[in-house]
Amino acid sequence: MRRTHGTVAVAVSTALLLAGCGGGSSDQSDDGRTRIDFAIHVANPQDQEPAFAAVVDAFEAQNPDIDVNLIGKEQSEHIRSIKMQSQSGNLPDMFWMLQASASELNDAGALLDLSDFLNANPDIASSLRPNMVEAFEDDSVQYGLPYQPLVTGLFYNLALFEENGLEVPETFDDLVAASEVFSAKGITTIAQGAKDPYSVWAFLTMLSRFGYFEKIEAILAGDEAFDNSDFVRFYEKIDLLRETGSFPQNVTTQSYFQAVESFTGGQAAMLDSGTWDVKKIEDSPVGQDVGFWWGPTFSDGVGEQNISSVVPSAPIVVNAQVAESEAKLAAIEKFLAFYYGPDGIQLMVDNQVPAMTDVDVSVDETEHPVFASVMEQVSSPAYTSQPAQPDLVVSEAVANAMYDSIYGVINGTYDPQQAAVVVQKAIDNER
Amino acid sequence: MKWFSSRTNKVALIAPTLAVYLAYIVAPIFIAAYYSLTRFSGIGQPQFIGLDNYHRLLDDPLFAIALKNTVIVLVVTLALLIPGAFGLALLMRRSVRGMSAVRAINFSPAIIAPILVGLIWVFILDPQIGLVNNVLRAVGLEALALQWIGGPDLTPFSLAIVQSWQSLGYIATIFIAGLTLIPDELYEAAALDGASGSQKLFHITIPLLNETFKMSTILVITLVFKIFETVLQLTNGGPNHLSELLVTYMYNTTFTAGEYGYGMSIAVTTLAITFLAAAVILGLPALRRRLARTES
Repeated sequence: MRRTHGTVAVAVSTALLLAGCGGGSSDQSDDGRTRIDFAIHVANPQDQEPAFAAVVDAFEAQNPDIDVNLIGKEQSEHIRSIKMQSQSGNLPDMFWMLQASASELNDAGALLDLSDFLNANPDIASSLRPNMVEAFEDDSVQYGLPYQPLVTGLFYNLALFEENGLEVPETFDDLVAASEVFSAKGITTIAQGAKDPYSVWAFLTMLSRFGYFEKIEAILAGDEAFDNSDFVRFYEKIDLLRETGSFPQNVTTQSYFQAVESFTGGQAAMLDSGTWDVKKIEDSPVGQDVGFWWGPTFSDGVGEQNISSVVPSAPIVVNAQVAESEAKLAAIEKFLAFYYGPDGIQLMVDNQVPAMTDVDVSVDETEHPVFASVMEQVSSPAYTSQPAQPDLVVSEAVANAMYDSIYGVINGTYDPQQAAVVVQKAIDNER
Repeated sequence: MKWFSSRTNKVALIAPTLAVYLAYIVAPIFIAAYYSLTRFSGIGQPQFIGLDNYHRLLDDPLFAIALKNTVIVLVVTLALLIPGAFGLALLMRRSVRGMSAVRAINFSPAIIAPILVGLIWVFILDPQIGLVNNVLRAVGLEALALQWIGGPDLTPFSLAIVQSWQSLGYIATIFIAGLTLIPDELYEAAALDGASGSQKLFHITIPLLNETFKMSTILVITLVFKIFETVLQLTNGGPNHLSELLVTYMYNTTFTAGEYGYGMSIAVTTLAITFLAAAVILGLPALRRRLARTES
């Protein structure tokens, strides 16, 4: 009997402890407004995602009966937290999520199908760029909509090019020739920071110029290998850039943020980055001399070479349980309509985020010269966007192997063949 | 007080602590062991795959590198830290004016957050901007300006130096505590017998600090197996995982690559290695005693 008492006491204490770990969400704020819990991948949305924060603030001002409760956490912590919440059935109402994980959440039945929202808002559905919508479709279920467009490429310091008698490159050969000149003068050609392995956006677009999207499905299905001759040739190009001294000498110990600083400080001719850095660049001493380039074309590339990268970033998704509350669902649909409507899009453009729809927006070229340069490239008819960013159509493990492979060649750790094999092994491990 | 010390009351008092221990220490180990037998991305249901993750460990060159690096850091840290901390404790035990301040200064690295320790040492060890290489270059020793961090070879050794720097005062404090427990009479008797300083050291101090040496060694092992933030700040495991330790590789695999199952197999293996290392340290003296008894 005593043993039973002891066991019960321990069991009850443990149960109480574990119960304390749970959480819950209600439909209303303390002030009676309908509350939307929105979990986001940055710790401080006002400072780190000003475009998003501006849209939320404007929406709340226009809809005083709705409270958008932002839950901000640093990206890796945010992803961990969402995964744990998915296990306990306590997902927030809306949240930002990596595409591969969002797709898995959809498979697990945790996400709301947003097809009804698009059907009820045909203006929005037709104005969104097709790849922004198609990226988050799975068996005719619309499990997410783009958080923002992801526009990535190479920012270049035009003044540095001109001072060294160089023109902005167009082809890979031009880039190598420019790199040789810069290297001889101790100038970094492309600022990169291997301590943040994901910072390889321009190189991912270059991979598309070697037939990535023509091959990736067959590769994932096991019908073709990642270490094929085309992709190995892509890594050979990076190796050639390494040999010509294109990258910073301390690339292995430098972070992406240090790479940005070296570019904005005028020590690097180009920066591999995206529109999120536009404001920082415009505010820097080189701000008036910076242009934007989609990266080099390759004479031995595969397929279309004039490829740009105006792709959906990770999606915004909605918890399937939201459908149980009519008020909350209506509030979320209202929010989405505002977010993807003309007012929301213009607010984003005002904060240097390119439009993800085809609505007319205005950009002040004098005040935002770098952003104007980006927008000029985005709307250039000479370029066609890749459908998605290459790392976002594979699992996190394979995406990480892709980053490793690219930085492996940049760092000189892998030769081109080894780099391609690293990704193939990651794919094999998933089978 | 007898009325209160009934078995039921004892159980009631122990139960909350035991529950915390079970919920947060024991249960996670078993949960991790379970997940190590699955393929799991953190979403949906884990897929049971038996020992596949452990088979994969055997073929994973990055795991081998992380294991090798951890062993290097462990061996170098033990070699630097145990004699260094012991020597420092002997010095700091002396009654000299201002010794309390010296003790406090020596202990101070132990209270700095590891992430800041990493940041400080980046500015010392970075091959391009670091203090060490800039001084070497300034005095004409360019050839010695090596890639202390960020290269394929030296990072684990640098990590061991950083870890030793951070823990030296902490371990020395443990030795000081051990030294204060040795009765002065023993040294006085030895002095009357004409023992020299080194004889006192090797025949009194070191033998009587046997347990302190053992516990410090185990403490260093656990410290090394927990090094995380320092690696994150110095190299983030790079270049290309070449400076990963077991813990950072486990973290990257689990949370960055989203391979929870495989990550847990690394965690379980790391736990087993830590237990094994501690068991060897604790078991060696007993084995030595048994062998001595057998020989006699």
